[in-house]
Amino acid sequence: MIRKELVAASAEPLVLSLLAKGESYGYAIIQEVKARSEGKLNWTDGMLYPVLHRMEHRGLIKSRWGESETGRKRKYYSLKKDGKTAMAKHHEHWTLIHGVLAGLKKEQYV
Amino acid sequence: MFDLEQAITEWRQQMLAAGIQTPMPLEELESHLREEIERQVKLGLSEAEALQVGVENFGETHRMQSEFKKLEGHNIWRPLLLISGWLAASFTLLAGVSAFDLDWNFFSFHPKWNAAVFATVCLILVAALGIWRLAKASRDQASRMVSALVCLILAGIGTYNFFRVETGILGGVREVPAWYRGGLLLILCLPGIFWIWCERRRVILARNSTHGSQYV
Repeated sequence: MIRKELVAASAEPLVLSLLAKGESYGYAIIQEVKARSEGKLNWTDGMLYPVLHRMEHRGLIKSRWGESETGRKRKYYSLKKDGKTAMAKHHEHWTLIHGVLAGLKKEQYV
Repeated sequence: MFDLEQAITEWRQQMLAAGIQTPMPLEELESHLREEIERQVKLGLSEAEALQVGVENFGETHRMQSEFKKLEGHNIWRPLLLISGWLAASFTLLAGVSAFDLDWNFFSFHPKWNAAVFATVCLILVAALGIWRLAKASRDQASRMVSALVCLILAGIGTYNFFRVETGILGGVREVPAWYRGGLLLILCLPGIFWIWCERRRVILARNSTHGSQYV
């Protein structure tokens, strides 16, 4: 079980990175994160939406109402320019943290 | 016979009831719920079971609602409402203090307790309570700045009044005890104290919080 704080901190970079591949909607985002983490990153469905809306308010992403193949209404989100910048920053920070952690771990086995 | 449409309508009503102060984006949540039901039904659950799973997956409604509530800060009406609230509450506080001064300190200083004074005290308490709530709610830049200005003006009036010992409202010479002047100063400084307290809390919270949402 990944700690709540870490899950929360990773939500924005993950959503931005997913949307960088193309527009998507809440349900698909959750399913993809679940699949990619082999079920270990299990977001509470309802909590993704406040995150998405907050990111939209901050101008990182934009949304539009569309329809699914079966004609159901769906709200699609896509990345904006500021979102791309934010994503690059997130990647930089997470890579840095990962690098430091990996380096320290390596030293333990030397 | 289970009626999915009816059940979803009921769910919508429950969500509306839970989020009465901040309407949640129900359309979007419903669309999500329908996707989940469709998937669960494909996996072999009945519609009723699938609905239950879908609703449970949303997590606790009040948590979701409180997350949406935080978004209110982006509403343009909210700062305007807060600023109007600050102006109204500080005017009430000032009016209360002035009424107190008129009652006790018009020609000479004569403390007395009557219904009017009690009413004034109540008015001051209500205004102070309102300011406390406003200070806690003022999270956006505009209302924080305006409220800071209001607090400074009130504290300024209080300080001026504190040092203005000898001349009464009509210019007469009077002796006003320091405890009384200090009391009025304290009341007029209350908004500023509340403001600083809430700002301090926000700084501490911002330092401790992780990036993004608290719950996902």
